[in-house]
Parts: sequence; structure tokens; C-alpha cells
Amino acid sequence: MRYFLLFGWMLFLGLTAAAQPKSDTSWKKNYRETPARINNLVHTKLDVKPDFSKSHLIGKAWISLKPHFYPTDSLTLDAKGMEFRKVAVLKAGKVKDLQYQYNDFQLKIKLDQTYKNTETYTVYIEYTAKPNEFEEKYAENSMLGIKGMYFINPLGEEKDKPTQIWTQGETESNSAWFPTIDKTNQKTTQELSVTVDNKFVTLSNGKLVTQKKNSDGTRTDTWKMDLPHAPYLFFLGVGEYAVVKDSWKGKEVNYYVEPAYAPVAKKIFGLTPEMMSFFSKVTGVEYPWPKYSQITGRDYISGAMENTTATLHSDMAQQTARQLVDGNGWESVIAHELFHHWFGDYVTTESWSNITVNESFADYSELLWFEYKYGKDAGDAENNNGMQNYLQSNSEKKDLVRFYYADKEDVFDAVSYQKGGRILHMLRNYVGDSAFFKAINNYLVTNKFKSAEAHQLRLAFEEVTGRDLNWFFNQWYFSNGHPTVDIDYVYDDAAGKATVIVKQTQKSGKYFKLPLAIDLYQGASKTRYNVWAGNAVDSFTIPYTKRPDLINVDGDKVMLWIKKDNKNLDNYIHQYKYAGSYLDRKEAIDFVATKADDPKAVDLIRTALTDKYHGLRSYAIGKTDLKKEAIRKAAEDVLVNLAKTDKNALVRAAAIGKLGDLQNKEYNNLFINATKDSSYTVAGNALSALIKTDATAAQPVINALNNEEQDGLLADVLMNELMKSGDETKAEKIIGDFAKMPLSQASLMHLTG
Amino acid sequence: MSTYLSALKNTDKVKWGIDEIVKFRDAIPEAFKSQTDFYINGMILKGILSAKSKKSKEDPSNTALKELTEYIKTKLPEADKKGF
Repeated sequence: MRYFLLFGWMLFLGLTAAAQPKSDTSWKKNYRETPARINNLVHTKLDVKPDFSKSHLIGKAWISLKPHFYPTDSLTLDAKGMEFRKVAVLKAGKVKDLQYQYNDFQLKIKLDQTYKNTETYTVYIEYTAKPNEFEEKYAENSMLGIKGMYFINPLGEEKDKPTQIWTQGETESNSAWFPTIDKTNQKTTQELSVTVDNKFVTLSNGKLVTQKKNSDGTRTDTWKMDLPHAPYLFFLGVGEYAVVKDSWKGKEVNYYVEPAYAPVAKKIFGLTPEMMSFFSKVTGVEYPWPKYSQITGRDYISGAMENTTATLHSDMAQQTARQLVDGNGWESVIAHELFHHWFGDYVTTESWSNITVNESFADYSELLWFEYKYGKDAGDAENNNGMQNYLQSNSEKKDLVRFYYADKEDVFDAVSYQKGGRILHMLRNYVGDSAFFKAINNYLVTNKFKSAEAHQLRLAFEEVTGRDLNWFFNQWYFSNGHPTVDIDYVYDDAAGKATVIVKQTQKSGKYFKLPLAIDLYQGASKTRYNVWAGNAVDSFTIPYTKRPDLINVDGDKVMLWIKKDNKNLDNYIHQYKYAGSYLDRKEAIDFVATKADDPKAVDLIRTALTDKYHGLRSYAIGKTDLKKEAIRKAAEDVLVNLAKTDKNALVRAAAIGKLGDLQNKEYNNLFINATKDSSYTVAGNALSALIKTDATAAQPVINALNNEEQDGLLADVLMNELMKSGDETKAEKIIGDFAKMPLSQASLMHLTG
Repeated sequence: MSTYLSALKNTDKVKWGIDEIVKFRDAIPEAFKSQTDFYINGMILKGILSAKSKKSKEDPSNTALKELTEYIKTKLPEADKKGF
């Protein structure tokens, strides 16, 4: 699952989420053991009909189970906020009523006999699910909704909002719309029939096997999933969608979007088949499921969810053709949810404590995809973004595998996701690409259609590499924090040796065992030394005949740490030119930007403005301080050129924004022309620059743009101007637009404008 | 919104905007409220209240403006009403 909205607020406000009042620390003593398996789900058959007038679901369930090991005469099902009309067992074709107790959360059934684990039995339940009533009664302290099934605009009362149903199972909310054992260590095959008005399309897991038109204007669709998956991955979607068809190796790949987005659906989701090929190749497991559909949902409570073969995306995925000019802002989410179909759906975390075995891989898939599709710089940039997200999350006291938490929703954080992804990156670097991909294949094949925990991942890696990896897993998976290091260099030309001193300065007092690659550069020539750090202070002596131009610690730039690297300007200039990775260049840009009085630094800033990677061109633009005359002289012509000709819209936008800092009316025409750019970001930055430079010249441009289609940054700039004006006639639009915004980071940010 | 509502003169429209901000504040899940309320009450609503109070002091005969400041105060928890 990708969390955006609530998590985004907290990042915006610089806060950390807490699902429990701070004063209540009782959870710290509450070990979260893996749920016991008494009965195992085998097959789940549902026949459901939504009642839009009440936002209820009328259902029948046939649930087949087997005792796990010990014989049992009882069954406990998770079933939240339901009303039951019948609870029975099917026996020789007959329905035999069973005794049960119910407490709004669980249905405790006394079976008709004691069953052994060689016997499969089927319980039959007629029920009504009342998700809204359940949530109203119990959701007070939940970070995310708990009602499982969401009726969106069910009575059609909200103008411009479609009527939809979508479900959200993770963590344990699907049991608010069908009875099940709602635990990650359960797997079941599935058959779901849903009866809806004929105007709606439906989506569920597996394949659509039949569609039957009924005499009352309704239609019954039956979906079948023959491969077992966990109950939290069940999905039902209903709405008036356009279904845009694609395919992969003969399997259906469908994109369910609101009809207005049908023409751009393939621009948004169209890389999916290529991703399926790529992920099948890197895992060594061909996409295992019978189809793959993606659907958007209004008012979705998160970013996206990997329901097996039926991924649900927030409607933020729906972007117009013009928005897509700046790049597909949803591409990483599409990769993330798809990769869950291996890590999460095919092999599932056995408990929420181990969620990182789902989420770290999904997070890491974004890096893998960018690296494959757009090159190593793009992958490295993704890795660095993930690392910064974790480092800024103030989470150094949280274990990656966490057996103590206040609420199961708490484990969906920057530790399980971004830190976990960075740990996988270090593991890949340590064992090598070939072993890494062989090991994840081993993990998937060994645990397919089952649940697993971090130890199974360790065992898979140990089997492939032949190495004991307890040290790595104990340090990174079953513990917390990260190193903070100071790196110093002492050169002794007379003795012909350099000493590299690595000090671990983290306050925890725990020292990390770190395999380090130290690269020594003479010109373009590099010699690598592999060493281990693991103490408060480690010193490494490296011989040389001529003083090296650069000693580069962590030569592959994979370490998850905070570092103070005491190199000089010449070292960094050499690093930019010869070490050459994304982070090598980025670190050099950071350093030279602080040395703007030195001509060599100015020269490197000018060079970095034309870096081969667009992300670093934009970054260098941001670091260019035009208030410093030497930099302005060196950079201005480059910036003008970038503003006019760079192929990447975000680089053009950044260059225009930077030129706006000069407030030079000579650039008015450049800005005015750029307000017509197809990129909203370019147009928005150009308008902003023009307003800053020449408010009078900007007014007619604002007036003209207000009459055109607006979105993205351009809309934000125009809205900001409207707000500043205090124009009484625009109140309907400004306040009305705010009122219509979903509860999200965007609306919180809008408040500040 | 806060900039706009601070600048807006029509008190009915400002009240509408305040109501929408309060709706937004109250819809935030309980788990986040202790942290977001500080921001929405302390910075957004009090920011608008401050701007309107200043204008009200400059124009003491404007009863609608005075009524508006009282209205905004009713939307704030007791602790945030101090200083006005």
C-alpha cells in the first residue's frame, strides 16, 4: 500500500504520527505475536448485493476451512459491524444451523462436531454488512478508515462526483464486508458474485467468468480467483468506469478510469506490461496471476493498494494530457503496487510486525524500475530520495521488524518502506547483483502462496550466498537506528600513505558493522580497497606513490548513514568529474555551492548546470546563488539557454524560476512566452517570475490565463494572485474550491495560501 | 485561504470560509488532531482573527466586523481565544 494523504500531512507539518495518545504507553509491553492458526481458510465464495440507499451490503458467504493441525470443534471469524440472518454448516447438501456468539468484531461459532486437519468443512452465513455504522461506532482512534467498504456518493447527491464502491482491506478491514479470518497468514481461493445496476461495471480479484442480466435491470457478475491469496487483498469495485484494455503475454491488463480519462489511460498506466516483463525477469518468477487490472477510486483514503489482480489507485492517478507533460507523477506508484504482486500477494508477510517483507520490496521496486527504464542516475536519485525521507522521519528508535507497536497501522511508515528499501540496496551491493536476484527468487519460490517473515528472507539469502547473514539481519532488521559518521583523511607524503579515519558518532552507543569500499583516485584511475568498520573509530591505511586526487569512502554510495566527509574543494571537483555516480556529483554540487568565492567552484557550478542527468541540472539550478556576482556572470547565459531549450520541462521551469530572482525586465518576453508552455510547471514558474519582475506587465497575462484551462503549478500561482487580491467576486471559486477538496495534504497546504 | 479571508471584506463570505476551515479541522482523524489542531487553530484561524481584529480596532463603528471577530472566536478552543 502506498500511504500519501495522512503521512503527507505529517511530513508537511514536520510531525510524526501517533495513533495513540502520547500518555498511553501500555503498548510498549504488549508483544505482538503472530496470530495462531487454528482453522485455515481454503475457499471463500461470496454472493453480495450493495444497497446504495443504506450503504449496506447484503451477502451470503460459503467459507470452506480445515483445522491447521489440532482437531477443533469451534471457529472464530472476523466479522465487523454485521447483522446475521443465518449461521450454518453445509452437511451432505443440507444446511444445519450452528450456535454462535457475536460482539460486533468476531463471530464465535460452535461447530457441529470436532474436525480433524484432514477434513474440510463449509460454513454458510447470510449477513448484512453495515460499514458506515461500524466506523461511526468504533473508528475514533483509527488513523485510517476501518470500515473496509466505501460507498462514494451513494445517493448521487453530490454534483460532479461519480457513484462508486471500492474496498480497502489492509490492514484488517475486509472483514467489515465479508466474514473471514482476517489475518495475513491465511490464504484462500475466491469466488465472488455481485449484483449491481446494469449501468455499473464491477471489478474483483481473478477473472470475470460470467455476466448475467437479471429481469429487474440489474446484472450479476461473477469473478473467480483460483490461486490462494490473503483476505486483506480481496477487492470489490463498482462504478461507471471506462475500461481501457491492454495485455501482457495473452493476459488481460485493464485500466478502469473515469470516462473523461479514457483517452489518456494508456499514457498514465501504459507502461504496466513492460513493468510486468521487467519484474518477471528480475524476480525469475513470471507474473503469477491470471490478469492485472488497475482502478481509480474517488475519496480514496490512501495512495494505492495492491489488491490481488485489482490494484486500487487514488484518483490522483488520473492526470490530464497536459499534466503528463511534466512526467507521469504516478509511475512509481504503478511500479510499487505491481511489485507487491510478488512481494505481498504471492508471498505475504506473516504478521504486521514483518510488513517490511512486503513494503521494503515494493519501495525498492521503484528504484529497480527507474534504474532499468531511465538509467542508473534515476535509480540512484530514487535511492537518495528514499534515504532522505527516512532520515527526516525521526524514526531512529524504531526497529525495522517491530514486535511492539501501539496500532497495527503504525508500521506503515518510513522505516518499513524507505529504510527497508535502502537496506535491500545495501544488501544487494554487499552480496552482488547476481546473488541478490537469485536470493529473492529463492525466497519467492520457497514461500509461494504462503506467508513469510524476515527470517525466511535471511535464509533465502544465506542459501544462495553460502554466508551467515545473521549479523546483517540482526543489525538492520531486528534493531534500529543508523550510523552517523565523521570521515577524515591524513596524508603522509613522506611515508607514501594515507590514513582514512571513520568515526561513528551516533548517540545510541551501538556501533554498526559496515563493509566499506574505499576508492583511491589518481586522475581517472581508480583503485578499490574493501574494508570493514565496526568500532567507535576505525583507521585504514592506504599506500600511494603520488598523493591521490581523491579518496572516496563508500565508493558505490549505498550506505544508509549521515556523514560528515571532510574533503576539500579539489577533492570534490575530482569527485564530480571522475567518481561520477549521481550521489558523487550531488555531494560535489552541495560543497561547491558553499565556496562561491573560489573560481574553481564557480566553474564547477557552471558545469553542473549542464549535467547529463536532468535531476542534477535542476538541483544545480536550485543551488546557484545569483546574488553572488561571480556566479551570476558564470551562470546567467547557461540558465537562459536551459530556460529556452532544455528538453526536460522541469529543468526549463527551474531555470525560469531562477532567472526570475534577477527581476530583470529584459527577460519579460522570455517569461511571457513561457507562460504558454504546455508544461504547467514551466508556465507557473514563468508567471511567478514575471509577477516578481514586472507586476504591471504580468496583469494582462494573468487576465488571459484566468480565462484558460489551468492546473498544477500554474493554477496555484493564479490562485495565489487571486487570494492576494482579496477580490470579493472570486469568493465562490476560492472558498468553493477549497470546500470541494478531499481531506488531504493538498487541502492543508491550501489553507496556508 | 488564510491570506484571502484576511483580505476579504464581505463578512458573510468570510464566515463561509471560516466554516469550511472548521469543517476541515473537525474531519481530521482523532489520532492527528492533537498535532493538526495546533496549526489550524493557532496559525490559520488565529491569523485571520488577528487580521480582522486589527481592522475592527481601526474602524470601531463597523459592527459587522466586530461580530465577525466574535464569530471566529467561537470556533476556537478556549485556550486559543486568549490575547484577543
